[in-house]
Amino acid sequence: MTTRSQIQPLPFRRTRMDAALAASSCQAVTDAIRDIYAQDMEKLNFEQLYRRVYEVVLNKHGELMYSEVATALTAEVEGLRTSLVAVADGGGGGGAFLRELLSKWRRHTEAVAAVRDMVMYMERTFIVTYRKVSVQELGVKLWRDGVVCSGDVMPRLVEAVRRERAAAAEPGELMAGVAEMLTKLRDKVLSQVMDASSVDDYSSASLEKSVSEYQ
Amino acid sequence: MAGSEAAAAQEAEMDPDFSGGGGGGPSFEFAFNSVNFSDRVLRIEVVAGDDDDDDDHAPGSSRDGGAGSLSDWARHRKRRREELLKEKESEAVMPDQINCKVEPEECDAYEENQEEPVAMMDDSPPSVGPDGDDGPSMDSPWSGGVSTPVLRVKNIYISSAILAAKSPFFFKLFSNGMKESDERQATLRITDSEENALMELLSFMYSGKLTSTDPTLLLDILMAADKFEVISCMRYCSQLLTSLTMTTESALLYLDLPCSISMAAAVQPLTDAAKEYLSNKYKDLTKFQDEVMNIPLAGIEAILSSNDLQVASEDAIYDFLIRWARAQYPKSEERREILSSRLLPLVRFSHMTCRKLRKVLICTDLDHEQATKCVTEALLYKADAPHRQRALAADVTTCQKFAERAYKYRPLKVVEFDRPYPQCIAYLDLKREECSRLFPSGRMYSQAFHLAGQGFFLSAHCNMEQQSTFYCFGLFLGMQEKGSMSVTVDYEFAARTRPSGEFVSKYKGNYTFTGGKAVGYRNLFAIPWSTFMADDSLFFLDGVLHLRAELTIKQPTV
Repeated sequence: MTTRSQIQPLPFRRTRMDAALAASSCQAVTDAIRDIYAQDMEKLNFEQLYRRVYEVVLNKHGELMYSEVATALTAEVEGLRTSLVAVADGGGGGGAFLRELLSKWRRHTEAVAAVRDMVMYMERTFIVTYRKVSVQELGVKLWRDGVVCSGDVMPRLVEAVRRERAAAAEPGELMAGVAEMLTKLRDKVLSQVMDASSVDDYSSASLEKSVSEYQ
Repeated sequence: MAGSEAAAAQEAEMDPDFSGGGGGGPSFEFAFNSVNFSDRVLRIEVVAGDDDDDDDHAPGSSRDGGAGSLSDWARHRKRRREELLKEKESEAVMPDQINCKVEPEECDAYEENQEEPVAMMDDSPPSVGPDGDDGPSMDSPWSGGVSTPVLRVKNIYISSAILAAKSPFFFKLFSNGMKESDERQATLRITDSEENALMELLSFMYSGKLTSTDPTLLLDILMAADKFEVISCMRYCSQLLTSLTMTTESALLYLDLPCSISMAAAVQPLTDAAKEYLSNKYKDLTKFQDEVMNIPLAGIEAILSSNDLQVASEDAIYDFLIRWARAQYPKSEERREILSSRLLPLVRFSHMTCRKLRKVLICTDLDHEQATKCVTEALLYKADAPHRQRALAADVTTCQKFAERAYKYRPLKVVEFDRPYPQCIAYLDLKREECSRLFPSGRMYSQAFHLAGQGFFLSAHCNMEQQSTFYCFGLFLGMQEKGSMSVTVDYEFAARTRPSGEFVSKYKGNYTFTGGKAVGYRNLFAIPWSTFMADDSLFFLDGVLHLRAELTIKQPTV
């Protein structure tokens, strides 16, 4: 026996979304993430993707959207790591590896910025409300833990930096770029790499100077 | 002014180029839908929205995601039934209103459509084709294969810089490198229920003003502003809604906003005002019991979160909640879920009587483990040192559970002895405001306390002195109705008195009680009411009157 309510607000006009529809919207967003990393962004429709994120979050499927976005970013970063590992060492210094690393870092940061734009409604609402890691921060974390600090990359990075430092009398643009990237990853990654690749005649003061010059 | 500042801050964050010119202060009303100041066309596709989706998907929707979605689902389904009933009831009225509202827009849209095809064919034939082909097939948010039919299309001349300055969404739409960035025409797809609100929002973005005072439309605009991230409009809508006269219906509307909106900083003042309105209106819960029984969950949460709730005791709140939950959620599984997740946290178990706490433990509506936890926590609080009790009641993180409400039956501190003879001492604290409200003939009862198995209570009065010459403060000792025993009690009333703050005896007596009788003194302090309540009164210490009643049974009971 339900008591019929006499004080009922006008039900808010709101569409309801079941799990299957939420999943298909998440699929569209994760497909877009793949296109973004493939540098095929021109074909994507921002309004459409934004609206899908909005509708999913509004209908209380924010957790699903967030985890799908995180999963897609993780997969893309894994792909970048795989292709980075496949880079052959060129003759001489570690320059080729470092240049490829920086190239993929640039691609990653640009992609993360585009993904953040696409999900900015979730960023302002769900992520803030439930204190999730922001997409920007998630991108940094994935790159640090999934690429730079991975077992496949870190040894080659250290070796390449060692060779660069041994070969050059002064730090060049390449080293400055690497240092800037490592600085942004925080968690003392920069000092970890520099200590591991240390050569006696290289000073941290000189490194700091080069970082500030190229920023 | 706040809106302008927010807009300026927003611009500073988005793009330094806009910080100089934009500002948000000046009105660009002249540029709204003006071809002369336009650099793009905004194509608005209106699709069918809520009703179709509700009808098509409600039966088949699955409940997943746990507690939250289950209770939300129950709420939505219940509201859907009521919505249908309401639609039937207002059948005679609604069609006319709908016709009045829809007709002008249709004319307007028709006119625009007549103009646009010519302009578009002349200016941008290449972009029309791909959009037309891709749109319907690519964008099917509500079903896997079937595209949503477009009811109508409106084209608005827009100034992209103005929209981008006000809204991060439009800023990114026009600049983030996806398809729309390079096109002169951008498409927005909205449901028909969003159409009016979107037009008002776009107008606001140019003019900084809203003309509507209809709460329902303002709420729609608030939702549109949230969707397209026009924070200045969210804040403005919230302010307008807060300034309108609030009713129970409108307050419940504001509390029923989707979670993602109600959590926004811009909307907090509105939801806070709605909660305050409801908790003030219904604070005499007993008086409004029947009305509150029909209030939905969000309103119940607001009312029962209030410290100013005037009920006999926390026991009464618990009883009401169980009754409300049984009425609103007939299915026991749903009821248990909603009690567990949303309702029990509203109850302050530490202020319930032990007799009622026993009933909590055996209540079949509750999850037994949770009930046990609540009761254990309450008993530990009751047994705790007074200074820790005060700390818990004052701490912001725990006061929601332990702070005392404005109970009608005032809580007591009681010390009991059995030897050498039955005796108990009851301490009652009354705030100055509570005493003030007693004038001219009010009463305030304490909760019950027990002596030799018999229940007693104290009663504070404002009453006329014996010779009816002036009002004064009276204190009485009453015996509860239950039991047929008669018992002779020696009693003494005392009150803390300035300047020492010591308890000073005010009246001694003895009385043979039978069920329901009361005894006491009509003018405890031997002064008129006005003297008693004066700022320099001897009996209020830091705004509190400290009373003590000592009861002793020295003769055997008969």
